[in-house]
Amino acid sequence: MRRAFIVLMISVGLTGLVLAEEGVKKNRLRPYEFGMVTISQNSMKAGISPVIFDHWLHRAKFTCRLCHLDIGFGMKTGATNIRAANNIRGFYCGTCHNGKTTFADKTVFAACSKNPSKDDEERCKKCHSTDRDEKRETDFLNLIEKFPKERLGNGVDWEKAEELGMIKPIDFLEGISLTKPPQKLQKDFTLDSKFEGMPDIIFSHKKHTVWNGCEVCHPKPFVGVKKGSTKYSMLEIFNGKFCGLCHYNVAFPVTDCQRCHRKPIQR
Amino acid sequence: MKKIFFAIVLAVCLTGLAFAQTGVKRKKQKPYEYGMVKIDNFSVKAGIAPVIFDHWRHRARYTCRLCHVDIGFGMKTGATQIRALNNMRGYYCGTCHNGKTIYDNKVLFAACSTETSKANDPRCAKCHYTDKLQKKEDEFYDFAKKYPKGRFGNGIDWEKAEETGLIKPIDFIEGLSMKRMNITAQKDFSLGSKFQGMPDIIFSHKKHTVWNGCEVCHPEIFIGIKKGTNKYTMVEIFDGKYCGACHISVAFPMADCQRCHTKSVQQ
Repeated sequence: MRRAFIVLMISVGLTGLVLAEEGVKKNRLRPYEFGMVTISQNSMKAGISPVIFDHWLHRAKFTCRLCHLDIGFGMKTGATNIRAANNIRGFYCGTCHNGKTTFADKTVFAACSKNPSKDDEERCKKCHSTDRDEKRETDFLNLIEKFPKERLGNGVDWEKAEELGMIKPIDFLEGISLTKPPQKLQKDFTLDSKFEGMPDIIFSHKKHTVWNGCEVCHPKPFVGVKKGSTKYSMLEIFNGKFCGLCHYNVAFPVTDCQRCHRKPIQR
Repeated sequence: MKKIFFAIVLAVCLTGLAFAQTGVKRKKQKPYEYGMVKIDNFSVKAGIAPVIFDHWRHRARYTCRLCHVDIGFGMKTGATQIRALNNMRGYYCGTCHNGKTIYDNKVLFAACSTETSKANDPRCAKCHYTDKLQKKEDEFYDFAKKYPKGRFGNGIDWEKAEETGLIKPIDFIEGLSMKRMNITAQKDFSLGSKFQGMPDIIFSHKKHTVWNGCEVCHPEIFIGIKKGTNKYTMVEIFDGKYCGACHISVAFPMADCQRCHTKSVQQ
């Protein structure tokens, strides 16, 4: 009986996969779902719910660079293969979630433990939880209530929120991050559009480095620092490569054409 | 035994799917029914009537882009999963229907609340429709008599209504929409027909952008902006993809062949 059900689900799933092709509007994620990552390589096997990680909760407090570079989280779901043992030893989530670090006068709860007892259940559920969507959404709405609104993604203009000083993302972790001499920023420059009538892109290193430093983008996915070293097309970007690596799932989505294509056209 | 039963059910369903609606004339919707969407992700479960949304009422006042991009409504029935909670917090319907927004010197009623007694509040019934559809039909005819007639869909030539200034769809919501640079619409171009004798399509970006900006169609439905990047067929369009994403259910339906296939054939 159960097997028949599984077969049915698989066939439905495969049909869905075949049908999920081009030419249709994708289902738009709800604001709180944008940047949500389900991590389940090891959880399910260990008999615990997968971890649901919300980017919004963390990006309001930390830079992208801090987690994706200094701590070393990958940028594809499942790529990091985080284990409880890592967290317990102070890696990945456990870098901050160690029961010692303080943030906003509160001690940050410790991620994972070797032999969790019944009392730990609430702590486990802070990350290993799939079944509290309404609470998650309410938490989200409360967090972002005062932030400037945006029409896509999380519905938050994170760039403006940072500019206005409403959020001050931390970029340094004592004992892990290294202090380096600040590098002088290149001025904004244009990336020419290849299509007549389409405005050129104005790219701002300044806006990007606030969150990413150098290392999130260079040398991968952008190998060169000289304009023109890396060749890429909008199709690749829409496919999640280059700019699309972030401007798809976490940073404002590429649907907002003129947010990048904004150089007035010479006539 | 049960397994066989499931296999049979599955086979019957798939056969049904394959034969559905080939070779017969579909039932034509009444003008007021065209673009009607029944939204029932949560309503009936919560003990209230489903929402019945009329595109005609809203498209006479707002662009498609405003709701489907800036506000973020999906384009498939049920895809958006709107909750009362969202509306009350100013998302989805609640973006405008908040008891504060003024349209045409009237305050727009607030969508959803925690305080109403579900059953009898006339405000609930404005969307959670319990009246006879006859009432909607009467309202529609009263509404439609102001506009130039068309022969399909709502029986209204929306394009002409906009061109002649009878309707001036709003494309901006303060605090949510973004002021973006205008991109000059590309000149009308032809899409070659693949069938001898069938006139080529003349596609007008100008006519489309009035309602859709760039973002309703690009990059999701049409990934590239360069002619020829997307390959698609009439069969796919009839299946609700590409042009069919709108021109089946809301925009004028494709039964009106020569409204697109307009280029006179060279003899």
